[in-house]
Amino acid sequence: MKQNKNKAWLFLLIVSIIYAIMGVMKQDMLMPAIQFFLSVITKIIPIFILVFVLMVITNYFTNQKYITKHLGKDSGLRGWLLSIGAGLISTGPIFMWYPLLKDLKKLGVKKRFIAAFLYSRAVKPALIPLLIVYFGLTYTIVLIVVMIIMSVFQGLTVEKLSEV
Amino acid sequence: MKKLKEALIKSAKSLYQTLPILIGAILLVSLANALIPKTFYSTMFRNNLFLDPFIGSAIGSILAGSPITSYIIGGELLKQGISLVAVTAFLVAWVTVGMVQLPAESVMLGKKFAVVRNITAFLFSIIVAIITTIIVEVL
Repeated sequence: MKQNKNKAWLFLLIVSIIYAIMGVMKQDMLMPAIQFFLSVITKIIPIFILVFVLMVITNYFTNQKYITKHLGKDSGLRGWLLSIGAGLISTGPIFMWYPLLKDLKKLGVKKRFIAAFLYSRAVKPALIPLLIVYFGLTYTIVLIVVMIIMSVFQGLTVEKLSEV
Repeated sequence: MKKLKEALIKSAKSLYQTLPILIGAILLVSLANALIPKTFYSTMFRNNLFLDPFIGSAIGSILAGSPITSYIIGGELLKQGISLVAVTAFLVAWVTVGMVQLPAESVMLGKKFAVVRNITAFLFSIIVAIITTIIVEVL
């Protein structure tokens, strides 16, 4: 646990050093990067709050037994529907969901469901109209169906390979 | 009440511990966004039916950001004559593969899981692109 904490701060330190080097070597790129960073931070604050609320709900209501039943080894079709459905409706950047997924993993959620959740996030219902405008209705429907089916394959493959 | 307090403390602690990872990942995404000009993407393709999906997936894997940005870039690439299969691989990899977020994902969900997930997502983005394009052309 402490080792992970150290790794987290080390990661931020390395990124800060990269920024410091950038500040010296490519000053003109530094400001746009910082501006983009600030705009992302502003946008993700509501998602951050949502993730926190979901984490509290998860920690309050769920336990090992519940997770094993719904997202554990023998959860079957229910597990797939839950993880893919949650992936579809989840909003915001992928990394915002890492803390919740980490907690769920500790509670015993299978890797296949975490991988399926992360893959099915590619389909965003709110962005479907925009996808239709750019690529057409047929393309959008086909892509979404293929992506949902593929998230099951992705989940199974990741679980199989990461346990080798 | 005690259970709720425990849940609040546990969640706050967990989120606080991941804060450096989240900030680091956003900083990296911002850096990639500032360093790579939007015009760069179209220059990478070779008009090769077999190579272009691979290139599309590779570019989509390196970059990160809102899917809206990928739709806009993808739409522009199509207008410039880049094949649908290459553009689809680009769109899918953009949202499913995260090279920039890989260090964060490794720390949070495990190195092996993160590496395997990203490699397979990269390969799947090409497969999804091929299947989608074939079906769309048949329809």
